[in-house]
Amino acid sequence: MLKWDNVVFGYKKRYKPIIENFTYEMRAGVTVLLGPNGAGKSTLLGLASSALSPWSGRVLAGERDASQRGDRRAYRAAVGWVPQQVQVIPAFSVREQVAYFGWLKGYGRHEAWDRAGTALEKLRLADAASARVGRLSGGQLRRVGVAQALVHDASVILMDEPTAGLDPAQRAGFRDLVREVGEFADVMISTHQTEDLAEIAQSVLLIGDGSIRWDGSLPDFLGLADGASASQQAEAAYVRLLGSGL
Amino acid sequence: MSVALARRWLHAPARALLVVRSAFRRDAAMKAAPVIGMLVYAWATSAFVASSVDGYGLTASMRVISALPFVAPICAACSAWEVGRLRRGGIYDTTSCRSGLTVTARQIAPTLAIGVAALVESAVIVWPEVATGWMSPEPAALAMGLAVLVGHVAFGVVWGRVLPAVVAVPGSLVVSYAWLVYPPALNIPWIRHLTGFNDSCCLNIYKLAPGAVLAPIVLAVSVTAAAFLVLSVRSRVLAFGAALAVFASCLALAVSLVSGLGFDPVQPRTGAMACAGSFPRVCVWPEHARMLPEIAADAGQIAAVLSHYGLTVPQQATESIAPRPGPAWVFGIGLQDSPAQVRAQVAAGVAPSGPPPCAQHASWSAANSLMALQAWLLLRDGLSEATANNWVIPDAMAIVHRELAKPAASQAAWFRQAMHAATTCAAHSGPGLP
Repeated sequence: MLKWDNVVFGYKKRYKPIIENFTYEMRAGVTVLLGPNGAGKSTLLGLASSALSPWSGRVLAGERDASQRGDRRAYRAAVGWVPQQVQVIPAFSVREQVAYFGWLKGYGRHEAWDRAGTALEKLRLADAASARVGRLSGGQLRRVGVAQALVHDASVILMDEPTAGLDPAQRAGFRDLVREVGEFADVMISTHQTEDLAEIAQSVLLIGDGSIRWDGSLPDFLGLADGASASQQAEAAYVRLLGSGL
Repeated sequence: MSVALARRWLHAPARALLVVRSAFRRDAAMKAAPVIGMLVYAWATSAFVASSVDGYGLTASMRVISALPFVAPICAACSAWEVGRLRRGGIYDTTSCRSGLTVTARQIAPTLAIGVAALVESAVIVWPEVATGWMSPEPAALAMGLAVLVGHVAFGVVWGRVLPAVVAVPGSLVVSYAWLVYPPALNIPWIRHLTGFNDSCCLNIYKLAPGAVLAPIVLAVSVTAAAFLVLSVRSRVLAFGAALAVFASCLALAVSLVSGLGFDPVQPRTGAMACAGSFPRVCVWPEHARMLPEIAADAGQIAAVLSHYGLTVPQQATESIAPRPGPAWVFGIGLQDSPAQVRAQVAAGVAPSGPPPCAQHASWSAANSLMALQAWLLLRDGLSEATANNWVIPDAMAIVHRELAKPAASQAAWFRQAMHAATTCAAHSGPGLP
């Protein structure tokens, strides 16, 4: 399980850190990381993915410390990351792109190729395996991003604003995808779109200014406010919590 | 055999086909390979490349790597493109379990392989064209060529990592090409020896000076180290600072290695020679060994002439220009020379081939004496007037004709005096000498 342990981080040493003494242990299942723009959601996921290194404190996946050189390879193999912008190598086919990420995660070429096929089947992308990634739509690219995170059997998958820029139909499809992924890995998704969380999350973590504002299960979160539907409840709870302290 | 293994074997051809097809689609170097192949073919089959090799392994090796200006710049551009593609694809920012260095090495491996294949193509074309028998390649020259290729690929890596592809690709192509061909055209001796490109090297009496081999290797290593730092050090400032420091110090080292060299970065060739006879002992370079019996006979004949006139016969007649004590009898021959040309070269070799070293600092006015000596040797060896006329100017021939009419003792005295004048700077013209 992923754990932030007293983490301090900022982008420039001469400025105040934007994450200070942050401690949190991720729960099993799908956790939605909520917070307004600039709250530090992407930074927390960046730290968890090991793309960023904390100034102090530790980010752990089980016993493996992302900051320790000796642990980093195993840590990165355990954690899959879908960044906000899924970047691809345009000349690659979908399967080559996913297999390439498998290779980056430490598998040999043949094994990565086989695993890419399996990951694409899991995400129902097998039909698009030969398509060039440069010609995919935004929704398909997200799926490729998730396939890249799945190709190495990660036990934790981090998704940074995965529904940003998707149309309603694509977002609905993506919610289904997250539910499927949640069956074989723990998932943390950052978003500020509360309507997404009611259908996919088991836990909610709300942050503001780099610190935890609320942490608990989805039913508890929804119970903070009234509404006609779960998504309205979630939105009301989100506004109430933001209004209370932000 | 397990089922999985059997399936893998069965799928192997399809997989290989897929890999090849993918490589042609994905790799810039694979797309550029036909162009490189055609350029190398056109260059390697040109008349210049096969000329004046004379069976000498070093010359042939240098001609092989003279294809570098057609190979290295395209490889540099390809590696800039490949690394730029990784950069644009965000690969260097992913949470990869492999280092940036490993990732880059995999990406540019086809480029490097194509570059090496192009040099092999050059060798495969050049070697049979110039070899007249067994001709051993010069490992130092080939190693230098490979190092230069790697250096240019690394240069492309740095550009691709740092600059947008629209600048990095054409920029690395142009800079790489200019670096290979422009310095050798400059009038500054040392700068031309830094590039590793020297298509006019070397006559078979020379070998490459160690500095001329090492300097391009040092520079190539420095560029490769700079690429290593840019790829592996996280802090950009630190990476570029270290890369610049490494490059600057290696450049200084490389310049110091070639600063003492002249326009031709050579020194007298050493090594085993094929020898025959005892007085004089005749030694030729291994590539001329099959001509040795004829040369030994020619040398014996001219030695007999010198003895007849009571003149000193040098103990060794050789192709080597390495300094040695005693009178020198140095001749130069080529595999394409006719028997008459060989005989003339051997006979004329008793006389110096040019001004003495002191002529660089003091006055020396024995050019006609020198030619007259050579003409006398040719005619006394029984060669025709026409052959002698091809060697010397009419003034020198006039001197020789006057001397030939005199008694043997007088001719011997003239020979000694002319030889003295030709080999020293303080000599004065004597009777019959201009």
